[in-house]
Amino acid sequence: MNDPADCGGSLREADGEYELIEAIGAGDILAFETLIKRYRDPVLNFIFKYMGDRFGAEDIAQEVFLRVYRAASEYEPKGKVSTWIFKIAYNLSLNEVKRRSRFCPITDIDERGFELAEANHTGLRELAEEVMDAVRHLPEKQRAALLLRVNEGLSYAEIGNILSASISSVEALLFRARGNLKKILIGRSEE
Amino acid sequence: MENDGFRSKLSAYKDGELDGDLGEKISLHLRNCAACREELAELERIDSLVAGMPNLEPHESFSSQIIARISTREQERPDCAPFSKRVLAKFLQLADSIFELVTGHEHERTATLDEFGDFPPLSMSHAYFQIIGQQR
Repeated sequence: MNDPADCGGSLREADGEYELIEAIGAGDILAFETLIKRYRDPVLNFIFKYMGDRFGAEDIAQEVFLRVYRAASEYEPKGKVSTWIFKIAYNLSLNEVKRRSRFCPITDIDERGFELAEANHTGLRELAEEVMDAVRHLPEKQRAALLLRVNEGLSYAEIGNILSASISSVEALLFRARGNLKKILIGRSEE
Repeated sequence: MENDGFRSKLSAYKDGELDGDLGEKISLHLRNCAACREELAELERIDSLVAGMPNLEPHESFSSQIIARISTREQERPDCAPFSKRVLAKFLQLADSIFELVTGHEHERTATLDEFGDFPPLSMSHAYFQIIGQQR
């Protein structure tokens, strides 16, 4: 079972993050660069996997850090810094996905293809594309919950904070997300 | 029926998010239920596929672009200048107003017409400025 003190996963709360945010709020650019370096990869990849678009993901990720910089002076240390940053990332990504869906339904986005730098082997690349595509067909909240849990290792309480949902809702979201993903992948392998 | 109840909790069990009693019940159930063990293995496979999705490497200039955007926005918004600069600007405005009062607005006097009065003698502009000059 989870130790409440254990953040788990790839993002562990580093010491002195509140002080870092305080320094950023006072206009300390070096502190801001430290924060960017710490969170750039997880934030960028969360957005990329949530949206499925490399270039859009970079723009949104940059906007996340700009929002962090602007809001740092008013930051209240109620929760974890990582949760706050991912909440901004989730909200901006969700807005962008909704904005795009008005102009470009998801079936059209499918044909764009992805730049999968690490999946060099053809079979692996095909599998990775298949999984990414299947993940993008999950409902918004299920997709976000799954990525935050599996890739970032966040607890249900942290995910609930980001998605503005209760812990029991997060449990249901993850149960359904895994079940739906399984159905999508099995359905495609049978086609 | 009991099996369905356990199955719906396997996802949270896998994540280590169930409280002690329920977690132990499921651990015991898994020892005797091959179907639930298979279901748990399926969930782990699903998670490993999601975890195996490729990562992006951020562009080299990722951080510097953000810093540049901050500098640009701050230049565009003077109200975002540091507090000390904003106070100094207000102080200078006040000093300027006091100076105007003491010196009787002398620095507001201009010599606009003199500056524009060097047109060629036979031009329309020269005639116009002659007339304007006579009227002052």
